[in-house]
Amino acid sequence: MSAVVSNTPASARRAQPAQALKHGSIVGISLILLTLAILYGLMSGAISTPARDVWTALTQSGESEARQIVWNLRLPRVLTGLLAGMCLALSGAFLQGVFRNPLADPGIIGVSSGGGLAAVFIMILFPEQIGYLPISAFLGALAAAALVYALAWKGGASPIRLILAGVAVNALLGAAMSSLMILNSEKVQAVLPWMSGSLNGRSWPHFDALLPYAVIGVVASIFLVKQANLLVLGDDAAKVLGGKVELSRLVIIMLAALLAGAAISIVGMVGFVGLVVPHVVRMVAGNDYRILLPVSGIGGGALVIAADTAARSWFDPIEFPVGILLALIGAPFFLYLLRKGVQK
Amino acid sequence: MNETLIAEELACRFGNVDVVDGISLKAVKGEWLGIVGPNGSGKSTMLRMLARLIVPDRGSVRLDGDDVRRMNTKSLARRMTMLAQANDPGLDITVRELVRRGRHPHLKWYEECRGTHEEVVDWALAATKTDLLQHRKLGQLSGGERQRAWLAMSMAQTPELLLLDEPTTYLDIAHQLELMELIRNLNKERGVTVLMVIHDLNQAARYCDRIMAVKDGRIAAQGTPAEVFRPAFFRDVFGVEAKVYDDGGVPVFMPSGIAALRTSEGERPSGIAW
Repeated sequence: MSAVVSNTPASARRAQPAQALKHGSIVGISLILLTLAILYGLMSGAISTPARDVWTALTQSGESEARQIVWNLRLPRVLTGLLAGMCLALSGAFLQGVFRNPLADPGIIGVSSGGGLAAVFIMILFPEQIGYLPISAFLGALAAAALVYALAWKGGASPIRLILAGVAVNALLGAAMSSLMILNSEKVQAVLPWMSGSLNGRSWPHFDALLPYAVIGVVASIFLVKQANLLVLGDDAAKVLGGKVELSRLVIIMLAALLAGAAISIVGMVGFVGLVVPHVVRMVAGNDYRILLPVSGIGGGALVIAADTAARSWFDPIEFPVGILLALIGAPFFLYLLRKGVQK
Repeated sequence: MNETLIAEELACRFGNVDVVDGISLKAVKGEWLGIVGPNGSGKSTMLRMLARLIVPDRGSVRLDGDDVRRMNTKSLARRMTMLAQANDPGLDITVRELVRRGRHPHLKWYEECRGTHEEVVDWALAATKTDLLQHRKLGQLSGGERQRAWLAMSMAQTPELLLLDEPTTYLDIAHQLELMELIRNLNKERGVTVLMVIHDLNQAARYCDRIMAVKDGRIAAQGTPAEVFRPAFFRDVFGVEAKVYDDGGVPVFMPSGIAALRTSEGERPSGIAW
């Protein structure tokens, strides 16, 4: 091949360092934002803790009040938010590529409705088994995603059939969930915070429960970057480039369901992160999954931490569910971005 | 004869229509085969079966003796590729990123596109004159620029066998000829075997070594352009009356009207004063 390239203009090759620099700085900026969000999360609350005290609390064990608040209350909550936001954003980034649709999010494959129905089922009919809520919501989410995929399969699962099957399954499961709630309206109050997504009271056990799934998801994501980059081109192009289209689509959908299902099983139905974060990252960084995935993951974590901190400290003494705040602030911001059309 | 791609008795049914109904073909290594035929004749479907994009209901496709259905997808993609007629026009990636993906079949799962792979990308961009567009997004290009970018991706794949489905459809005449010359160069200089579905019959005659005409899912005629392009051929296959001239050994045809069989107007709907 080397004989071929002797007449290549040198200017063409200068592109690569520039791109690496751009990608590097985008990752750097997102990491700075994440650090600021974590710091905000550790410093703010009913009692403000100065940065110096946060540092002391993190590095020295003891029985001080600051240590109690920062180490036992705020840190696990911040880290749980980090993992949940990361999982949701990764899930959304993958699904937008698989469906070649910028409006895809974890809801589209039934994850929210499946997980939601399972959670409501436990909370309303078996409130004494509330300890099984996360695992039920997780299994419900995966089952709904599998059902959507199975319904869409007809010698292959095209994006458009997946979307139609997703809409149908969401409608069905949503109706079942509403029926349960209407028939048991006196118990609905308990369900509401979970339905709108909340990090209230999340602590180390929640973080420990979510961590393995987040790790599995991140590791699996690394192996799926190339396949996702091919699927974006369309089925025909992906196939002639040697991609295993149906197999990688199935694996990616199931990974997305696993990530989002794990997140909502712990923090409830936090919407919006999986839709908006990859979308914003794509506007800034482009549609290459090598950069889109890590930056979406970092951004999703930062967004959930910042939003949750705001939700619990702005409205003191009321703890506002983070999911509602995300939608209230995020939706107008998203519309603004769409209208402005951030593009180079 | 040194055959590379051999298809036997290919057939494909959509619903209850036999779109392709028993086509056998052999592509000789290094030749340029033009595939012509009226709309809906099954030529694109045939090409898609050859490229393994559609599984045929009957028949087999072999590449250098190996059944393509049993071949590893990546090793097949290193040897054969297809440029589809229509690709997503709004793709949110740059031309260079698209062309780099053409190297995918040549990279191991852990390998990145760099070094000599990047040089191939540069070559494909320069050859298709898309190097000046390489940092633009595909969605910002004109139809013709986009088509050249997709061809650059196929070229970056460095296949032995290139299938093209009407690659000149969106191009003006100068860009059509430029693309045909580029493919001629790949064909003659690099020995790439080309199978091209093409609507412009005069260009087919000028560039292709061999012509295959498809009608109603079957082969209607095949041979060199001079053998195939006779007035009777245009009447039987396309239903047009045409005169055929000779331009230095290349047949040139000039249609003069719809053949008599097709001119019956049928009954006009009553009540329309037109």
